[in-house]
Amino acid sequence: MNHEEALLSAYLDDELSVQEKARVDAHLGVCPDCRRELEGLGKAKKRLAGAGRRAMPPDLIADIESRLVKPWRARWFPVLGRPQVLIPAGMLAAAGLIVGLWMGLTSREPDQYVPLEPLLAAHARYEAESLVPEDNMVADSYSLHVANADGGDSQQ
Amino acid sequence: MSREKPSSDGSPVSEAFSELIRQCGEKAYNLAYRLSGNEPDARDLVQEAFVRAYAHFETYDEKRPFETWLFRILHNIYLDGVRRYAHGHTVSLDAPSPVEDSAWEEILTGEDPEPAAGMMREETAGLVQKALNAIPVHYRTAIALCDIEGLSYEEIGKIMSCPVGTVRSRVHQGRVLLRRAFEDLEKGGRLQ
Repeated sequence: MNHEEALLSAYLDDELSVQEKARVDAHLGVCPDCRRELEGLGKAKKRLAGAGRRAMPPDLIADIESRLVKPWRARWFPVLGRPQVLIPAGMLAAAGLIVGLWMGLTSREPDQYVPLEPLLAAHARYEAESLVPEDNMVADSYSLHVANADGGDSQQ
Repeated sequence: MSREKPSSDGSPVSEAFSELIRQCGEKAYNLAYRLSGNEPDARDLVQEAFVRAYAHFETYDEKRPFETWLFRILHNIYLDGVRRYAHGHTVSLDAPSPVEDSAWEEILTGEDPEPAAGMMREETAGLVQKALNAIPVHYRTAIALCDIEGLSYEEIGKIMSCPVGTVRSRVHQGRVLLRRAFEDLEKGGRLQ
């Protein structure tokens, strides 16, 4: 027996051509299995149709309309605020900070060479000046006293 | 219908588009609910579908029903979501919905011997949704559009982007699977 199972749903939905419908009708007349199958499919269809539509939440229309009129910033902010965007962005920023710090530390120039001679000379002059008596620390005699002190040192 | 779109600077949505939302919102929500199986996802799906329809309104062919165009957008958004989910999980479009199974007793809540008609409808709807969730996406979409929305195979083909022959096959296979799911729920309490 050539069963017509594959056509039974379309038969129920009235989606067969005239020829196909005639063929299925003829087959159903002689095939109790297909009649049972048709009955089962019909019950499933009826049950699904009988469930009816889910009522739409009353605030949904307002929600839809509010999404349609939002400025682009408001529409993009939720996207930018998502973890899929925030986490990579945070990781990128942290990596940039670490690289920046590392580059700053490694690219520092070595300490400049500081010649010691002028410092030592200045120190010697300070010591020499301290030998000048406090009451003679005047502009006119200052050089003479320094000269005398140098001369005295060299004579000793 | 006017193709005029409101600007995005906070001005109200055009009356024409608001009317389309009111006309098709409930059907779109119902399809979204039948596909996703829960209210939060259904809300997101419907909102996203209308946002995209609004953004691409210039491409809408006025000679065709807006509802079919909207359903097609909604279906594509849902498939994208399933594919993204499947990418990170071991499911496919041929698998049942990734919705947790519930026992028959959890669906038929309450022990009142004569429950109110409203509660009976809720229970029937809950059972139907459980059975639908057990069916792979393509079959679920086909029978939801055919049996709940009452669309023709040709309209379903436009929404699902497939030939009428494929729709015929999906509707039949979906109905066979739905019947088995009902039987499993009633016999064992849980879906196979």
